[in-house]
Amino acid sequence: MIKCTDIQEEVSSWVDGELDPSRAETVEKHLESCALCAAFHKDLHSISAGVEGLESLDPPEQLWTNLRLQLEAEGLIRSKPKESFWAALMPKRLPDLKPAWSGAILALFLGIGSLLVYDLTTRSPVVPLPAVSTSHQEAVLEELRKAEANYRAAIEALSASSREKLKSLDPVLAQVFHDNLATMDYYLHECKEAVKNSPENPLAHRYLLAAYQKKVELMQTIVTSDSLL
Amino acid sequence: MTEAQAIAGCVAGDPQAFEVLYNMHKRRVYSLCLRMVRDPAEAEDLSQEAFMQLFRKIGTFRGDSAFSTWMHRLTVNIILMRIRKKGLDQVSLDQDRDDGQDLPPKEYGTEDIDLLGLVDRITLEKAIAALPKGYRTVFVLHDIEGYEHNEIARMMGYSVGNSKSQLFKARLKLRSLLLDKKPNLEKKRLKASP
Repeated sequence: MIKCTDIQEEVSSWVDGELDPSRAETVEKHLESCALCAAFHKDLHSISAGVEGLESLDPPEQLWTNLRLQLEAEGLIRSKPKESFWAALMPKRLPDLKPAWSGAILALFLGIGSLLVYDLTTRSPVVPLPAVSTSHQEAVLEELRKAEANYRAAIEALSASSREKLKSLDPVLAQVFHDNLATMDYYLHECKEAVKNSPENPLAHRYLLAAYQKKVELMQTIVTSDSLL
Repeated sequence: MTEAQAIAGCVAGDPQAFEVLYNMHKRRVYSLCLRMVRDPAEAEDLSQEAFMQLFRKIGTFRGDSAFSTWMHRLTVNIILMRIRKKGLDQVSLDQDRDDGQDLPPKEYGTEDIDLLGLVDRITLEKAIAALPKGYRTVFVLHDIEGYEHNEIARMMGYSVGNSKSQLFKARLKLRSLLLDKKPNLEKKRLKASP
């Protein structure tokens, strides 16, 4: 006597086209006389049709942010800000400058650029983060906010004097500094977005603080730029 | 940018190429991870791991198979490695006990087992997510992702017959879950008839 459970296992193979033709005939005959198994057969087709209608799901936004940070940390891609920094500033400005200024500005950019490169390439790669408690995360974010506030205060303190200094500099050199500040602001914005998208990611925190530090250093350089000329 | 151009761009380290390739495949990779492990945080972590592996190895892609196939297999391998680390493969070989129910759990009368109209996307997703882990793995790989039994058997480390048997049980369980969710239906449960 044929058991329905046995037949249904064969029905499962049959709908996949994986049943021996002689067994398929037996199954087909059974379905004609067994409403239970016929219903099972029908349901498998319904499920199959339902599966075809399943949609792919969008991953969370921060997946790409984290992936990009890890790709940069492993040196598989270069970040856009670093590219635009050199591409935007160096080729356009230096040919017009006097040799002494060229050397000074080149030294300045190399210094800032190498610090950036050093900071970004010496960071350890992003690895899957261990689970941390919410209270610990909040404490870390609070520390980050405090550090940000300190950097913003330093930037605020330097902004008036650096603005005045820029007015007194040679227009070409002042423009270079303006461009450089704009690049740093862009870099800061990107880092803030990274933190916003993945607030639990320590690498994003470090990049943001490094960006603030570089901006402060650049503003200090502007204020003391007499010594470069 | 075409997929081939994006692949070449990734090999050259072009940032835009990575993003293009990611956007082309992110939904399929993430969906596969989520359906296999259910937990969104773990699915995100697995997706990141899969893409990182992909980008690290992209220089070795020779084009013998479609890029999507290559990437997909890599993703499945990563998921299965994670699952094995958790010891799932042990229960999957004897999945009947995974949820404490022996199969077949029950039989349904003929009047209430027409699933037509019932299998909407959300209901089906929920039912798949509710499958015991081993069943879910073989169901997702075979019925959703289109893997053959011999491929699943090789990946999972068991026989082709076992893969077929697991799939049958998974389908049986899925049907049972779907019928249980069918609203306003008076079920007539009958014992298995000879």
